[in-house]
Amino acid sequence: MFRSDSARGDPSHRYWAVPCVVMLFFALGMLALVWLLLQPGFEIEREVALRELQWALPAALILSLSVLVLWSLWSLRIHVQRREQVEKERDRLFDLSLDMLCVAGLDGRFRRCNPAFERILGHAPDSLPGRPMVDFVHDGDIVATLDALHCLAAGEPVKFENRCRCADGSYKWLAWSINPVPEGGLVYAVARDITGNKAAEQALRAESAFRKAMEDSVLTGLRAIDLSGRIIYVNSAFCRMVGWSEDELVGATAPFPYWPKDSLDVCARNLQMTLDGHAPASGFELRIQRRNGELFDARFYLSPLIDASGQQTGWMASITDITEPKRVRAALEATHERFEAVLDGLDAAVFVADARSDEILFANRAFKRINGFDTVGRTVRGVAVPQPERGDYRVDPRGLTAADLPRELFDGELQHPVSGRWYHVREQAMRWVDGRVVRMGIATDSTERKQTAEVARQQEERLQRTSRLITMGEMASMLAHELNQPLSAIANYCAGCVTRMQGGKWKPEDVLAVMQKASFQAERAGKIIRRVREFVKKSEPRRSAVKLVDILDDALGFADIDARRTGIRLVADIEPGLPPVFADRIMIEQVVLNLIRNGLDAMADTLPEQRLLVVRARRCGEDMAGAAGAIEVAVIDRGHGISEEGRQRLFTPFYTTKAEGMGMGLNICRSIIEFHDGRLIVDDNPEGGTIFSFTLPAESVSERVAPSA
Amino acid sequence: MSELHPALEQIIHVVDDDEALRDSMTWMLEGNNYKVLTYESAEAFLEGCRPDMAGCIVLDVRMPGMSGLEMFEELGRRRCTLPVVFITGHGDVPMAVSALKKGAVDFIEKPFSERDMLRLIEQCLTLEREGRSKRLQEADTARRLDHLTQREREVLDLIIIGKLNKQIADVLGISIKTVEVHRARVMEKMGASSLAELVQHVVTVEPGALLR
Repeated sequence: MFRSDSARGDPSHRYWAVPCVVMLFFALGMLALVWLLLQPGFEIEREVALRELQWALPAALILSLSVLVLWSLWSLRIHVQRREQVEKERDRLFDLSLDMLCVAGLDGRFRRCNPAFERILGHAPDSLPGRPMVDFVHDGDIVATLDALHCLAAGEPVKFENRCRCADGSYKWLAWSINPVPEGGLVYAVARDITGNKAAEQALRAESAFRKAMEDSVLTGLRAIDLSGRIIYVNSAFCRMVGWSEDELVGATAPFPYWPKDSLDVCARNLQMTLDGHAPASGFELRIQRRNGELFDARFYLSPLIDASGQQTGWMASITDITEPKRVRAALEATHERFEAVLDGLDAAVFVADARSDEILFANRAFKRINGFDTVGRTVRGVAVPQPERGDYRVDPRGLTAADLPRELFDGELQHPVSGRWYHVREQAMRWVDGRVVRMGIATDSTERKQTAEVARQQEERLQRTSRLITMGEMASMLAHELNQPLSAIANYCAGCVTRMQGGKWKPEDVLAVMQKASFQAERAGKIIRRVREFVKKSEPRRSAVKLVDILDDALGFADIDARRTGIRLVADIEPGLPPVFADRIMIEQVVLNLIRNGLDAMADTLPEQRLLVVRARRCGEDMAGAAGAIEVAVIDRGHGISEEGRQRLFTPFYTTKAEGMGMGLNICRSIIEFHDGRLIVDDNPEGGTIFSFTLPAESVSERVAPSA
Repeated sequence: MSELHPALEQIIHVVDDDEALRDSMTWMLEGNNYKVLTYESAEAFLEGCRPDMAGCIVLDVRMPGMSGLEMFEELGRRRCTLPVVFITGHGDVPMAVSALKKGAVDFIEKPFSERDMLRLIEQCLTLEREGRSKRLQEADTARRLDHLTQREREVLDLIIIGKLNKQIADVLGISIKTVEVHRARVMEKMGASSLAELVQHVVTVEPGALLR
């Protein structure tokens, strides 16, 4: 039944050898008998012998046959015994095998199974015969299994793995090795339980897949070299980074393909450093090249590669493309630098201080220039001048929370007490980079702007003065200028005519033409006069009832800027309850402002503590004799005063003591005041300086005068 | 003098930007038998300016472009000797005064009378004529001096410093007779009728001759 290769050998040879020896002896006996009979000496007895032979031959034949049979039976017994022995051994082996052994038909049904089935799968060997193998196969493996069985049917031995269901419903991985015996219509199968291996393999595969995925997903390039500097491993990130494939890189030796041609020595030095174990722990930066020639900066971190036995086998490098981070960092740095450069380049002083502690966190160069170069870390209150007082803030910055931000704290102009320069200061509460509430202050030197504005305003004023508040003196000067041309021409034409007529030699047509020219010039002169008249009309004052206080306030407001700049005290001494005056507000304001300016200018050389300018307004009845009253305005300075000669020329047009003066101011003032039925008087100030005063009629009086004006 | 050196025709050059004034000036001056040329700007005048011009310039102080004063300075640089009368408008007086200090003949304020203008112009023309004659005279004397021989020149120099013939003869080591001959030739060549005239002529050209 069960045949193994080893069972086919010696015993069968021996089984055949015994009958052969018997037959050989028998044949030899026959030959010896025949030879004896053929001997000459036996001729006589040949007859006898032949007779005897007739008898003896069957006897010998029977005898030898008997021997043969006996021997055959004996050897058969031996053989059977051996056979039983072998089969017993085989069955034992069959039963004791750790592997599952079975015999199945070509139809795939079990014929016989060894007890390993029960041990491994839990199925009793007896229950299996007759059942198809595929009944036990995992659904996922049925197709593969059937394929294998088809191969078997074609007479080919197969090896495959599948999962088979255990009695308890679980599955085990089995490795099958099946040999078909087509003539017997059987297959012999050995199955080994590889569930454990499979699990290990699965775990291994999962791990390697995980590692692969990890390698593929990381952006950090990995490159391992052996101790001789040969690349033994690269990951896909590194391949992507440099553009060469794994096959191209693994096995490569220096110079590596990604080394830029022009910095081979640097790269080689770094490699040598690595191999010597001197690579810095913080790694190093190296500019390497992509396959497309593009250079990029990479940071290499190196660690020794240690195998399972603890032996160093090489160096593992992790490589990061730092081009982008580097660019970003550079851009950030540049931005920061730009930011600082811009702030430092500003003329405005900028600081940032903690709202609560007042500690200066940041100050630009201009701020440091004004307040000292060691200001950061100190308090604003301690170093910064000028700065708003606590009370000037719209809200107390110390009480602000993040929810209140941003908020403007202060916006105004402040003067530096020492330098006298003006600063436009703006402070704002905001959230600082670290989240705390800070106030940021920007102080812009506005001195120049203020001065420019002031100059512009003065120019504007001057323009107004010259265009609108023109005096008769000026008018006359202008008229004279304009009229000179036509008058001269007319005089010449006439004189020419007279000369000719006196000489008696003249032609009427000549003289006629010239007289026409002369009359044309007279017309030209007339036009000039008309133009001047229109101009005068336009610049006529517009009088109305105005409060003198308002005029003085405005004028003082303007003058205050100049006064503060020059450190002069301006004092208004205005009698309360003054009646309104009938005047051109702008004109009177100009007069007052002009007088104040003169007074301020006159005090340029006065001692600082004596710099005082008083603007006084009060009633005075005596001016308008018998009338309800007039108001006197006096501008009193403590300046250098006016000499006798100066006083005489004071109102002369073009007389001036100022470098940039026009010499028209007082002249205009007097014209204006006289137009208002008042007088402009100059007196010495008994306390030193000069008093300019003018009177204006109160409104009730001037009403009667106005229509005729 | 003038009969000796016939004068060039004197022309009055009127420089003014105002057309009516130029025209009326022409009319007025031509009525007084003057020859007039007008220019609308200082630049226009300078363009046509020649060294041999005779007459005078009536110049407006205030003109667009180059002012009268600037033009006057330019004339000085060009060594133009034509006398200048400035016409000033209102307020130009200080300017005119400074012009006067620099050598202008006079200034006249607009509007001016014919009489004043003619007086100034006549004054200028006389000045110019005399100046020109003087220059011609000097040129003539210089030319005559050049024609003297070496010996004649020596004699002349001694005559001028007041030496008598006898002294001259001694100084030069020649006879009195010879000195007299030279002296006569000098007087002839210099076209002088008297010793005084001779001295005057020479001294205007060579002011140093008296000091030798």
